Amino acid sequence: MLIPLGILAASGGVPAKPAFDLIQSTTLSVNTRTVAFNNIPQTYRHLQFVATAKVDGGAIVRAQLRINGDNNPSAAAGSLGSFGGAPAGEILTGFESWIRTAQFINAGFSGGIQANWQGTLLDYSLTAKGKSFISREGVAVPTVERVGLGFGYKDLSSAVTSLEFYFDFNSWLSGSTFSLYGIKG
Amino acid sequence: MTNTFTPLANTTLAVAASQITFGNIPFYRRYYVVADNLLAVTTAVALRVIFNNNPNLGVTNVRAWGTGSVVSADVTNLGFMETSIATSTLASGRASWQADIVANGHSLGVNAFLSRSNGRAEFTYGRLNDGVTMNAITFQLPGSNFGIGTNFAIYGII
Repeated sequence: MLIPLGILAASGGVPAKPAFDLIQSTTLSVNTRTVAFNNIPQTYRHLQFVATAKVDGGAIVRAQLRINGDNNPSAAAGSLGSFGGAPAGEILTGFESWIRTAQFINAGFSGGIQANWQGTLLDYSLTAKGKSFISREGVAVPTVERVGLGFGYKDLSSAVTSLEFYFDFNSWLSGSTFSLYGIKG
Repeated sequence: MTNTFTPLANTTLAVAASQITFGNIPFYRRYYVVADNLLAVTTAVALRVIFNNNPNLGVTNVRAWGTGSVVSADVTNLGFMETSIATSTLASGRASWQADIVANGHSLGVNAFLSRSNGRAEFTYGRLNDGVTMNAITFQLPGSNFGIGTNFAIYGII
């Protein structure tokens, strides 16, 4: 038996109170090293970001997330990923200023290869605790594939008011889209 | 700010089915798909995902999984995606699976995909060829059928 389900209109009920909001979204019109979300409202419990992006260059590059413009070495981060072979992990502690999680890959395709990176920053508005971060990422075209998980912790006792998606030497390409969502709870 | 998490469809099987399709999917920038109580009538080892009713659509799929003490990974370039799921969890209806699909067709024409399942922990990333916009998504259990109680839901996200 086949179960085809055409979607004609929203079904299943509407939440009584909106709990998942789009705060801001931007699609780049020019190449840039840094994409920033500033003046983040403090009315949510968690933040979620989604990037569908391309990067220039011809090698594996690691995207970085900087919080509140803070360059102090107070973050720890790690990842687990696979290029199709045995998964491998890495831990970065003690010296990292920024949470490093995602790897975007460019293997010489014209205009780069689109990758997807999405993550959640927990309890971002609280001041009594540090900030935890979890993410997933992937890129996949024939001969260039990676899937990964990331996590991080920033010892920060102030609320998160800005996020920057940053490269040391590379740039996000025009057409890349970054979105920031707020989750109530 | 805009509330952007919209339920599009939700179905729980009252009878066994060989496949489940969400068709006529309106355009959203993102979709969230969740399957719960995944039950296979007979032995199955994977959840297959077909886009736009076309099992020959170009899809590159990379996945990694662990069974507690062993980790593995592979890459496939088939016309569809597959997420491996432990046979034991499918047989007992305890598997769950969720995916975020990014349909950034307005500028890059690509759909992206991430999923995870329990029983065996797995994370998967798949990618359709450039220029393809998703308008239907079909789920199958190769060699088996979905059992009664299997639930699928899809949400649209701006």
